[in-house]
Amino acid sequence: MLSIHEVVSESYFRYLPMNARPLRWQFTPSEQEVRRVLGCVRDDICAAGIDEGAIITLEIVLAEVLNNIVEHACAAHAAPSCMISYAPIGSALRITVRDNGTPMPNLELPAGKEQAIDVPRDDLPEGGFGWNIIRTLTQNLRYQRTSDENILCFDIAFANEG
Amino acid sequence: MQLEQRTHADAMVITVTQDRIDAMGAIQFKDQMRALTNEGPARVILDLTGVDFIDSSGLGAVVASLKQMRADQCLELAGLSTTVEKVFRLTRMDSVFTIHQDVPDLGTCNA
Repeated sequence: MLSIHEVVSESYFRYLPMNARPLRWQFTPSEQEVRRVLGCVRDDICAAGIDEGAIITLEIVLAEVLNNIVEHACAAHAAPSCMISYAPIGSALRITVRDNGTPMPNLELPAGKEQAIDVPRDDLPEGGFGWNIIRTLTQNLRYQRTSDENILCFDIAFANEG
Repeated sequence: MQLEQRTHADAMVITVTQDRIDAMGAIQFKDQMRALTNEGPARVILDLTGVDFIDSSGLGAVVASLKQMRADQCLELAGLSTTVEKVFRLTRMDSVFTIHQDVPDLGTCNA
C-alpha cells in the first residue's frame, strides 16, 4: 500500500520522468531574470501536472519573494545569486529559495500586517503588500541565515482532489 | 509598457497590451497612466483583459494611478484574470475599485 507521499510523488512526475526534470533553477537576480525564471518554474510545474490553483498561488508568492531579493537582499551585491528548488511533500509543494544577499533585519521575516484600505483615496497604500501575501498563501514559512546565505522555505498546498 | 486608449462620449478606455504588470514595468505604467488620464474624462476604465499576471508592484502602480487622477475622476477595472483578481482580493483592493467582468458597452467611439 503506497503512502500519501508516494502517491503524490507518482502523480507529480507522471508526465516526465524524474531524471528528465530540472530540480533547481539558479539565476542572477534582476527584474528581467525574475520574469524569465517565473516563466520557467510555471512551465515546469504545469508540465508536471500540478493543479492550476497551486500554480497561480506559487507564481504570486514566488514573484513577491524574488522581488524582495532583487530590491533588498541582493540590491547592492556585486555578484548576486539565487537558487530555487522544489519538490512535492505530502499534499503540498515544498519550495526553497536561497540567495547570497544581506540578512533579513533582526534575522526575522517581516510581519506583513494587513494594511488599512478603507481610507481616503490619498491615503491608499501603494506598497508593503508582499509579506502579507506570502504569509497568507503559504504554510510552514521558515527563514534561516547561514554564514553567507538566506534560505527561505515554504509549502504551497495542492488542491483537494475528489 | 504599452497602453492604448480610446475615448467615448464621457469615458476613456485604457487597454494594457502587455501580459504582465510587474516590478519591471510598474513605473512606466504609472507614468503612462498619468499622461493619458491627466486631461481625460471623469470616467476611466482600465482594460486588463490581456493581463495574465500582476504582482504587488503592479498593484501598487494601479493604486498610484488612481491617486494621481483628479478628484472628479474614477478608475474602473475590467477583464481581470484569475491571478489578477486573486491579488486584488488578497490585498482587499477589490473593494477600492469598481470591477467589471468585461469592458462595459460605451456606445459609439469618438476616436
